[in-house]
Amino acid sequence: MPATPPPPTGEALARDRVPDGAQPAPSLADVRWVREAIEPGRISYRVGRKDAYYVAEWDGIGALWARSPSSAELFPVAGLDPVYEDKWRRGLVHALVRHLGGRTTLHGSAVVIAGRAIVFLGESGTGKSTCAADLCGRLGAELLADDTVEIDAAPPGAGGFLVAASEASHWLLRDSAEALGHGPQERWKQPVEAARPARAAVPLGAIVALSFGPDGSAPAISALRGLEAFTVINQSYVRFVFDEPDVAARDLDAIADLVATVPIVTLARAPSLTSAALARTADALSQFVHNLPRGATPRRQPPTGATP
Amino acid sequence: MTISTDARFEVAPSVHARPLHDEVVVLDMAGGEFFSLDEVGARVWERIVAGASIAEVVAALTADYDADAERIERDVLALVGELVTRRLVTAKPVAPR
Repeated sequence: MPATPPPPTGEALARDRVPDGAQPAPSLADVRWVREAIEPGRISYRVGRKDAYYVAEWDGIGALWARSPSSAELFPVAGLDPVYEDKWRRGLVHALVRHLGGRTTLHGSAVVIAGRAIVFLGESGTGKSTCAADLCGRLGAELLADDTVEIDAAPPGAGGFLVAASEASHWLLRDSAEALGHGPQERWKQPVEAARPARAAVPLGAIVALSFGPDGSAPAISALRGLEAFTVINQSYVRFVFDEPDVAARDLDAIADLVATVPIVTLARAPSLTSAALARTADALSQFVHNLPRGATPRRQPPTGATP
Repeated sequence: MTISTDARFEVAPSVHARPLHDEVVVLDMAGGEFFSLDEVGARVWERIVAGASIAEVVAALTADYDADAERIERDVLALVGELVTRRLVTAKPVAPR
């Protein structure tokens, strides 16, 4: 990997590939774990520190050891499904390395509507991938990202943010894939080629936090401000470093910059996957995107408090 | 804890704060916790980190909100007391007269 992050041009989905480390993988015995994701009965993912290394381990998939963005090594477990391995390398591994380099990645999906990137966030199972895939199929939106959304400041003078083109396939759970007409799948999540993958980074237009309303309810979009907007982004912000004050302050500034400059809304809609329900959601989103203000030059707010 | 209305405060070194629209988000980097201050709380925060005393904050808010000074003083003291308890701000030493 280059020592300096490349400019955020989103070039043709090219990903910096974290090199594989020499086997056997280093022992995880003395790692001081600082965050763990628990699934029923097991730790599915954890992040920790050992000496100068940042360490992440995905149960049954592999481990990432890094001292810096340019000094990272990957240790996939033997026999890993190559389809998942490729997604893991391009997605979460890349996102963690970006965080070491001070760059923002959100857990979510993103499409291009009317020339602007619309990012979908939400807890697991709230339909981030489904929503993106449906808008691509129904409105001819271009797919930018599915699972990890890479956001960088636009070049000086342009203002705002760019969302990188990082994914050319939809990653759908079985019921969503079938509801959207993609047929039966063999994997838990199966990549389905997007009809129109975006080829370059696109200006960030809005961030939409997804949730479900009651059955049969009409889609409702409402603006979030201040701490509500902050919380939505904070919960989706991909971090590799949790225990360094400077990094925590840097993350807060990055999130606050997004909140200050990008429209952030919630979209509650019925959980149904029927075509009629999905069409109502797509209509509401399409109308929302076309009503977004155009060409506003965002302003950064100066920090206060710690540096009065 | 009793806080004098003459008291002035400074932000703890482990604290990083950012305005968000009308609110302020305060990050305590020592504990990794976020705190939020609503619109009125944000105005108190902005003034005390700029060096205003409790009495000066109360006077400014009383003018801004056209409200009862006693009640505002009670609310400001409660908020600042909580900021001190959570170690987000510390009282500045008072210079001897």
